[in-house]
Amino acid sequence: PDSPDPNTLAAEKSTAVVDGASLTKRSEEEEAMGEQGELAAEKHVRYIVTAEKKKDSFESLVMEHLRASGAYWGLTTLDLLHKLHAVDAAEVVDWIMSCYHPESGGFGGNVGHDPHVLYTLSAVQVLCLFDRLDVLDADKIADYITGLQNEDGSFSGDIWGEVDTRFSYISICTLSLLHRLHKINVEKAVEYIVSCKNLDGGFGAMPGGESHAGQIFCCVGALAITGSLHHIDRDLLGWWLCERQCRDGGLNGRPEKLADVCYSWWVLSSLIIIDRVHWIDKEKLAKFILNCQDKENGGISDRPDNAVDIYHTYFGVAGLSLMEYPGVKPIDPAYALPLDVVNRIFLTKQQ
Amino acid sequence: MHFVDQIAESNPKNYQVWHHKRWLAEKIGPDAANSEHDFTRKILAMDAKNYHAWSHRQWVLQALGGWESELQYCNQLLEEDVFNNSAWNQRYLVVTRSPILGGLAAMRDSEVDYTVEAIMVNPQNESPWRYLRGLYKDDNNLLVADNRISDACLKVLNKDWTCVFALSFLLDLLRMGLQPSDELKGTIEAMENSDPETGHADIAVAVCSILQKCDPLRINYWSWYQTTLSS
Repeated sequence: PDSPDPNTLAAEKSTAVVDGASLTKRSEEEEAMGEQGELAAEKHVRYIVTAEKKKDSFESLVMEHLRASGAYWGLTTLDLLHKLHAVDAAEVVDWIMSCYHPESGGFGGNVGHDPHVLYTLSAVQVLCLFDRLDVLDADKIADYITGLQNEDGSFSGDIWGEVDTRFSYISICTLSLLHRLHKINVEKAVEYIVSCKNLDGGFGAMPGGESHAGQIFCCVGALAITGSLHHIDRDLLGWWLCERQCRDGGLNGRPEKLADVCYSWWVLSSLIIIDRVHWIDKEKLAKFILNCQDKENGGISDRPDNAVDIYHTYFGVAGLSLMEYPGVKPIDPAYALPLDVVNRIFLTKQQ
Repeated sequence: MHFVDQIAESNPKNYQVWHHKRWLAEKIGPDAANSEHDFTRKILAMDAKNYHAWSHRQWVLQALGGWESELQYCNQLLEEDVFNNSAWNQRYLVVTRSPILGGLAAMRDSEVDYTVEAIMVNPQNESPWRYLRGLYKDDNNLLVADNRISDACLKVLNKDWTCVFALSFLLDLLRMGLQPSDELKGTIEAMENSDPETGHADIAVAVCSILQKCDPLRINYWSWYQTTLSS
């Protein structure tokens, strides 16, 4: 999904006081893990909560147009670290809904910003975290997304017509969370995704597009949610994906590129969905992610010693979650939400 | 378009501006082909792997034309950086979809020569090895029968027996039915002799166990591969 160029983001080293004893108090369990593990969980929580509060920081301003996604990255990370309660749920829900466009059924990236599927998914995901799907007009949102499906099965991001397999994943994921997947032409959607499959087993943004781990996650996730994983040659794709692991233990997104923490999510979740995660060296990857932390000020960056940002903080923690790092809640590789949140949505009776 | 280009040039990784360019180019039509190609060339000169630029370039080719010099452009980029996976991907697009080159079957022969040469210069380059596989698509028999390819693997391994890409490609060829020459068998035996622990009757299994040692990051993959060889 739409992301800020990490090189243009500078972390604002904040010394703002964070209120709430819940942030400074550690459970006995966490204390013990802190001994052996190197995840500076408390620092990351503080970093996120502070960033959420400081709406005038540099990071906040460059992220303005995608703040809804920033909320998803930050809040999901908090939940994964058992600290979702560190923010005011009602405040968040209100703010998310202020990004909603009732005429269209879509959400914008921030208040006053035009609707787009990117932020519609993020908004729905945030509401899932707080179990507040009740505030949504699910049918209206479903109509918004259904209206964006094209004849060839692809999805546009908004009324302006940009097509990308990212939007296929986003549409399918959103509708599935709202129990309204049947409203789109699933067969055609799958057909389009398969048309973006390359000979190396990977997927691009459009037919013929270079295989890219981010696009692969979107396509694999979409195929998983629609029950269409049989279209994937798991051994072939699994090999392409495990070849993303570099000597430094990190993962890159395509051949001959540098490792980047965000690929700890895109590659790893894809491998888990196709049941081939044992083909990478998880220990080395975990070490790489942990080396990308700013242990003093919190947050995680794309690679060691670079500036941190919310995006990479989320993907680093999510990657560790997929590898069952102690103290981190398990995350669903297809829905990119904590497992207990996904279970709540699908295992309890919904209308 | 001129105005948008200025913005795109300073924000080459912004999704929205590229889509806007496409929206405009669509309205202008085939006349826009040349200037759009010039523009993506400019962006790729600054970052030869910019995914947006490549997506746009592919769209322009397929919607507005301009295939004539595309293969030459790929040659140029690969000359500048033979490790550029995007350029190899583009090359594949041109070779398979260009209306003026005759298609994959017609181009295969010259492309194999080109790719093998690239491999010989830089065997530790993931892209050309994958490209080679792509040239033979689903036709494993043709791939196995092309001596240039098994020869290339052998040549690379004779110089550097730890080259994982060569070992891996060789393994695939063996699994597809390649009958190893005496020279090849000799090379593998020599590799095994470097490690007295091994010594396999089946040459494919031997290559597999060598890979487990040379590519420890992916030891689980190569162990799994080995299990598929039993029969």
